[in-house]
Amino acid sequence: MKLKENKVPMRYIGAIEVKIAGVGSILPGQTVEVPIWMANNLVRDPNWEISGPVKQMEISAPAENTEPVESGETPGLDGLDGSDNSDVSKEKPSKRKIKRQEES
Amino acid sequence: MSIIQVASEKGEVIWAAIQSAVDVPNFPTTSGTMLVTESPTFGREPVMATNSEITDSYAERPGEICGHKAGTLKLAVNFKVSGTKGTLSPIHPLLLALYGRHTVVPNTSVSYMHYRRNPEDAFVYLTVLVKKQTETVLMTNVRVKKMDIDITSDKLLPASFDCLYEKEFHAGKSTLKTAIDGTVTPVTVIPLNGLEDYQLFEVGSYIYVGTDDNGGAGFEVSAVSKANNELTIEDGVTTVQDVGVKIAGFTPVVTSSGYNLQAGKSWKTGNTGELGVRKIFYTNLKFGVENGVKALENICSDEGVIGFAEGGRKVTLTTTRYYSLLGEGARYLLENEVSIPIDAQVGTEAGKILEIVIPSWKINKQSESGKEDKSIAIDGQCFESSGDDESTLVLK
Repeated sequence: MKLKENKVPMRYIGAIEVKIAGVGSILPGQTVEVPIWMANNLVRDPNWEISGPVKQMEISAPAENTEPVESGETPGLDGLDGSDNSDVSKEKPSKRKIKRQEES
Repeated sequence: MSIIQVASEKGEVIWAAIQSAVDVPNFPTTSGTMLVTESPTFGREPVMATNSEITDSYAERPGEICGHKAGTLKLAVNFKVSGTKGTLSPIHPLLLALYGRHTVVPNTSVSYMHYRRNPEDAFVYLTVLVKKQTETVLMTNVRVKKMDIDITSDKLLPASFDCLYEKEFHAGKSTLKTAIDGTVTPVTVIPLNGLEDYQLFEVGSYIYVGTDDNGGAGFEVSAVSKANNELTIEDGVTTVQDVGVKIAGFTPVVTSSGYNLQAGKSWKTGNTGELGVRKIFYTNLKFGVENGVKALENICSDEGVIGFAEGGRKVTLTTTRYYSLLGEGARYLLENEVSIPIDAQVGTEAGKILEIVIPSWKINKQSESGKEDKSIAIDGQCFESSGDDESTLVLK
C-alpha cells in the first residue's frame, strides 16, 4: 500500500556540508525534498530557501501487524480431540485449556 | 509524522544565536545547532531576604526568596571547525561571544580577537535554547564568561564554556485536553490534560501543539492559568488537533556540520625571542580564556540582572611534556621572567586547523611528576603585546 505525503524542495545555500537525521548529508547548493513542517522550520534559517512548489510524494506504508501466535499452541489442532474448532481465532488458548479440564 | 521525533533526537542538544543587542532575544535557527558532549547544566541561585527588625512585623521574613541572581550555564562541546578555510565554525556564536571580535578572510581564515578595553567593545549576547529529555529551556542575554580547551593527544578536542544569563523560560511536556476541530481558528487557549501541568510551562517559552508549530516558528506562551490548567499562546492553532496530542517545547531542526579536531599531531613553537626558533612536543596543553564577567544584580526587580560588567581578563596556558625534551630550561625562563611567544597548532589539513597565537607567555610555576616517565607541568599566563592581543584564535 502506498501513502501520499506532501514534500517541499528546499535548497541548502550554506557554505559547508550539513547532515539532518532522516534526510542525510546535504552539500552546499543541493536541493532536498523534505516534509512541509520541516521546510517551514528550515526556511527561517538564512542558509535555506524554498526552490519549488509543494510536491505530493508516494511513500511506502508500514507493514501491517500480524496476530502473534502464542507459544505451545498451534491453531487448528484442537479439532483433533473432537471439540469445536470454529472459533479458535477468537478464543484465548488459556481459556480453552481451562474448559477442557472442566469437561474431563 | 510528529514533530517530536526530530526535536527529541537522541539525548540532548543546544542551539545558539547571536543577539543584535542586550534584551533583544534572537530565537535560534537550525544553523545554530551544537551537539554537546555532556548534559548542559544551568541554574539560578535565589536571593534570600534578610530582615533585622527586632520586633515581629508583617514585613518580609528573613529566609524568604525575594528574587534570583544571574543564572550560570555550563556547556561542553567538541571544538569543531567548518572544514573550509574562511568559513565560520559550527560553534562560532560561542567563540564570538567569548572573544568579542572576529575577522573573516574568504578562502583563508577566521580569526577571533579579544574584546577591546579602551574604547570598550560592546558585549556579544547570545540566546541559547537547551533541549533536555524532559523540557526545553530558552535562555536570553547569555554572556560567555570562560572557555577551556584541553589539547590531549588521545582526545577529540574538548571545549567547555561557562556562561552567565539573565532570563530563562521553561517548556515541559503535556497533552491536549480538548480537541481543536479546525473550524474556529485561531485557537489561542490550550487546555492541558495532565494534573497541574500548567506548572511545566512559563510565559515566554515556545511550544508546538500536536502537528501545528505555527508554520515553523513555534507558539510563544503569553499566559499560564493555574486556575484552569491552560496556556494562552500567541497567534493560535489553526489546524485540526485531536485530544491527547503532545504539547512540548518547540525547537529548530537538528542539523550537524563541521569536523571535530583531534590533538594527536599537535605541536607548538616558540618561534621568536630568547628561545629562538624551536619546535617543542608536548603531551598535554590546556588553554583558557576568562573574561571575568561580573553580573550587575537588579535591585529594582525580582528577576535576573540589569547587565554584566567586564571584570578583567585572564588568558592562561598550561603544558605538560616529558622531562627529557625540556631539560632544565623552564627554570631559567621562570626565574628570569622570560616572555615567550607561542604558536600552537592543532590539525594539519587545510580548513581543519586551529591555531592559537600568543605573543607573550610567561611561566609562573613548574612541577614535576612521574617516575620512569618523568614529566614536567608548566603553568603560565598570557600577556598583551600591542593591546588586547593576549591570544588570537585562528581557524584556517
